[in-house]
Amino acid sequence: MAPPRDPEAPDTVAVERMRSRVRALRALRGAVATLVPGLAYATATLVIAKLGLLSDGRARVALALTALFPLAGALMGALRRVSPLEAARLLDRHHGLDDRLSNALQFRALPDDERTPFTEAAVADAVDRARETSLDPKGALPWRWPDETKLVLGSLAVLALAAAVEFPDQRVIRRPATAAPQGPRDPVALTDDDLQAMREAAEQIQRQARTESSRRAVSELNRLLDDIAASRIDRQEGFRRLAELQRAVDMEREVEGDATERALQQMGRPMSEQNALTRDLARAMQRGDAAAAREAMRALAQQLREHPPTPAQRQQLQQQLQRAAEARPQEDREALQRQLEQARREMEELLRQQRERQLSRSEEDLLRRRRREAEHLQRQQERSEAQRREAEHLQRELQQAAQDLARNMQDALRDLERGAEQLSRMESEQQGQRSLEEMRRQLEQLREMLRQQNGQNGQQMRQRLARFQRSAGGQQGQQGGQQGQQGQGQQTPGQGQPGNAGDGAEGQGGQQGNGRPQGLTLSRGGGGIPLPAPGQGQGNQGQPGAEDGAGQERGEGAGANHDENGRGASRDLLGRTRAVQVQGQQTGNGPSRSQVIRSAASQGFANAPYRTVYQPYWDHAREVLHQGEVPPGYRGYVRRYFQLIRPREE
Amino acid sequence: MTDEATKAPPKEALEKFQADLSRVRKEVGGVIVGHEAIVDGVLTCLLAGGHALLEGVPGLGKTMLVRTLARALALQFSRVQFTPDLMPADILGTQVITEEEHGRKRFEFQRGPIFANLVLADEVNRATPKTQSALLEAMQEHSVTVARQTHVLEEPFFVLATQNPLEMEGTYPLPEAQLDRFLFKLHVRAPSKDEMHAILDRTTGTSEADVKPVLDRDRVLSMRALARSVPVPRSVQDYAVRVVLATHPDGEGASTMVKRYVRYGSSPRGAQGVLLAAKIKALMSGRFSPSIDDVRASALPALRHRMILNFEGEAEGVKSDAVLEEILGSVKALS
Repeated sequence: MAPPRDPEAPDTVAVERMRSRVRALRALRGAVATLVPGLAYATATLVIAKLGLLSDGRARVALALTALFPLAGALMGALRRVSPLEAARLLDRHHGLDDRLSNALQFRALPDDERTPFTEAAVADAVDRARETSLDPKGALPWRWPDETKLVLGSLAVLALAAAVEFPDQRVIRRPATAAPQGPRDPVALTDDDLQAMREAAEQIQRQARTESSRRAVSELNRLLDDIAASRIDRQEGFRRLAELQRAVDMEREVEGDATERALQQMGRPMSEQNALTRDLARAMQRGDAAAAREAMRALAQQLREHPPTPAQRQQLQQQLQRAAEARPQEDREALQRQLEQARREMEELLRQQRERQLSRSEEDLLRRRRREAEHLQRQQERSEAQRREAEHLQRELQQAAQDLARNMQDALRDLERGAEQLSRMESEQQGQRSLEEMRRQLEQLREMLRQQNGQNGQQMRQRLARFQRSAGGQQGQQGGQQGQQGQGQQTPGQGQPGNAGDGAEGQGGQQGNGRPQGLTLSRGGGGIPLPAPGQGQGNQGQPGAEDGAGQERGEGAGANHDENGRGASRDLLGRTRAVQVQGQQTGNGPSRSQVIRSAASQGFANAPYRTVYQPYWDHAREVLHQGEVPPGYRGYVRRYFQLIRPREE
Repeated sequence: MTDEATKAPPKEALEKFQADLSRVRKEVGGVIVGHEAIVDGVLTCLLAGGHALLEGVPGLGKTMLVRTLARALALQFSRVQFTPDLMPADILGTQVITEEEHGRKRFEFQRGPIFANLVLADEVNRATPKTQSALLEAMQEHSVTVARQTHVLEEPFFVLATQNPLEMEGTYPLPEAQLDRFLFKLHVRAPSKDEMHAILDRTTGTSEADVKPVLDRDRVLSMRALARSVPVPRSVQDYAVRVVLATHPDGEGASTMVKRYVRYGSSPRGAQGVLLAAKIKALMSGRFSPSIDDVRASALPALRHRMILNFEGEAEGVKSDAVLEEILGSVKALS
């Protein structure tokens, strides 16, 4: 019997050779067939490279990849399975063996029990034929150019054409990336309402500014606000410009000084508040408030004109005015002069060194600082001198009025009128100083707002404030929103503390009362957000003490005056107001008097301008904030609250 | 005798097979001019144990071919001329009353012409279907049942029918079941010019060709056994199966033409006929196993009468041979 597999058998050898040839030719045909897309790819790459859309290096790499196409085709062809039966049939057909080889191949694979003499005879016959016939795999499967050959030739021609043709250079010259106008990475973002409030404050400061440098500072603040509104600056730049502005304002404040205020305070200090005629004047001057002093002096002149004083009163008045006129303000001129001379000396020394040698950079900086310092001190000295002259002018008027009181009442009244006019001039000096202080407060508030934007906490803070603003029904930026009504804060008048017994002089007025903490509520519709705020009651003015030297008893009872600004909303019909009559106690220590305190319903609706009502509250709130009585985390709420309820331009 | 034939060395058996067949061809060729393919086809059917249907116009020598073959094979031969009034009993035989010596009468079966080794059913399509059906049992079962008595036909039993495709008047086309009994359907073509000269030379003179019997009944049976012992490789058998399946319009690998024109494809009996014929062809060619080309050569005569065309095919005059050639062209040698 023929062995199942006889690798040495001529038919088997021939079949194996045939298989190898089939595999080789398949690989070749696969390579040729895949050359067509490969050449198309190469042509496209060449054209793209010639158009300048591909760099030379990348084009070379892309063209080199063309070789992968025929390689892949050859690999696929070579790896395709070639069955021995297929190879045997090719040989059978070529040599006219009538399937002898293929049949023998299958008979060899039969198990022994299935073999018959005829199968053995068939195998032997195939072997004999294989020996007799020179089996020729090449003849059985001659090389034949695949059908894609023409396409390959055509593709080669196109590739050659593409290589020969010169394309106009379409290379794109990329411009270096220019710095596109980009917004700041961390822009300062304030709400429109914040900015509007700041602008309103700046406008008011601008009106009060007296000096050119003050007006320049306000203009710079407005520019800063414009840049913030347009998101042109980031927080860092905002802080930098804010710091410059604050330095400029501080310097201007130093230049303006407080000579007027100090002079008024020193003039008012010897005056007694026990004198009914000069009490208001004395208090205003003790506060250093020129405007209030002016009004008090005019009121005094009017009272003297309408109710001529008794001789005793005239004497007392003369005495009071004489005290104010003789008060000597503390002289800081010498200290200022010393500082100026010191700066000038150092500056001259540096200038001398500059003439002799080249100054170092630090020395030049020092020279510039000294020069600015000298200029600054010079201006400060001039301003101080001017204010001192104004104060001396007032003292001369008071001196003259004191002298004229003894001689001619009409002259004394004229003197007082002139004194009031002089106080008006001093008031205008003070307004410049106050505008600078207000400017500084605004800058601090702006700085606080910028700080709130810092980091995650700032973000959360802004979100809280935004929620607060939405809930509060802020008047700005609420599209279609209903303007929030100002809530009705419950008035809890505090009990005024009577003045302690003075040292034989005047009784002290009532101090600020301590009411229960009341939550301030901004309401819109029915909802509102309670705001933690320090409780503050309305302390009524304490009862004045007795006459000079008699005020040993402290004032008792409720104050005589109702807060003019604290009547509350007259429209609130649920106010449950009622008329209360308070009878002053007859202590014999002062002019106690009774007064009927009427509610809004009986007295009439409040008619004070809101701006007048608002400002004292806001001033007090600022003072409380400044004193640190409000926790830092809540200061923003307080500021935002007052910002929201601020009087706005119609 | 059959065992001896199969136990002989294959090579010797093959050579003797070829030699015997060559002698038969030579004897037949002495009378019949041309028609070598028809002779081989008839011999293939005889050796495969099947039957052959010869289709051709009258005068082409169909009957002469069969008679010559019968004489060369030394087999019992009978000829039945089919006519419309032919009855089954005329073919199979009938019960006749006979009188014994003692005067006693009894039924005796009188054998018909079917009881022969080689039966020529001339113009088989002229008989009525009833008579045609009388051949069914004999051709398939090689037995005849008359009056509830079965009579086994002697082997080899070989029916060779002829039919005329031209005359449609008064003919009864063979039913499909009848056609399926034939292993081959052979088309007898007209002789060529040279063949015609030879025919005239042989048949119009005084001399008459003498046919000697060269194969007896035993030898025929031995050759049948040898043909059955030829092994068939799986690839060849697979090809035959795929070809037969491709004749079915809903079969695997059916071509568009088959789907369009064929109503029914070949039965498994067709595949058997193809493979048997391929084996004999291999033996005739001196090979021990058939090739795919043998299958191809056998497919046409073995399947052409087993494919039934649909109305569209009939209307367009499509021939089953064209459909088969299309199938053979489309079915690949290796699956």
